[in-house]
Amino acid sequence: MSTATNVPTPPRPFASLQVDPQKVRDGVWITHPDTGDQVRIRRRFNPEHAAAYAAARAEYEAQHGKGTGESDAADLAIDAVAMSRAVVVDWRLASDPTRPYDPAEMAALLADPELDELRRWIAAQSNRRANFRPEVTS
Amino acid sequence: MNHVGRTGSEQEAAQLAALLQRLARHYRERAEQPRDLADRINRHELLELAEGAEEFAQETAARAHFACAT
Repeated sequence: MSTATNVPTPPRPFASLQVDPQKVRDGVWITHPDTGDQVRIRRRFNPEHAAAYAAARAEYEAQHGKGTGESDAADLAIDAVAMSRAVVVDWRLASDPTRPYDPAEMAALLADPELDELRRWIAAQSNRRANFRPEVTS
Repeated sequence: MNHVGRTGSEQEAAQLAALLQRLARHYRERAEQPRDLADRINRHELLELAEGAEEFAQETAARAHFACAT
């Protein structure tokens, strides 16, 4: 009888840091625990997200004037637009499941101070490595 | 390569790094000086957001720096 099959495979170093590149790129569905709404999110600060920041900033300055992109208000508006385009990629609204995802509407929601909790929830979920882990880690 | 001025993409990276640092500061300030009960409850989440933004700001700043130096 061979003993080779009884030898446990040593755990892969740094396995807890593993993420699934496809999940990072294509996004994962997450459900808001209170509202039941779902959003498909990519990992925050992916390369598209960086490009979306630059585009959102340029658009903000084109609309509000050169040099206006460096204030707290501008930062939050630019962050909302970048998230709506490159982090959130789809939604399934509990109240209207067939309504197609609208990045402009999502940007407006993310920029709304009364919906600060939505913004913080999406930002936190997209920041969380655990959401993008491979199904099975070696 | 240009060692004095910055190309458009280097400038964009530097601007992005600055924006991310400000966002990180915004979240860190809220974690350390909560505006309301929600901030108090979500302190850990706010700190995670601050750390994520700081990390990406540093990576972005480093990219801008290396692009400028090569």
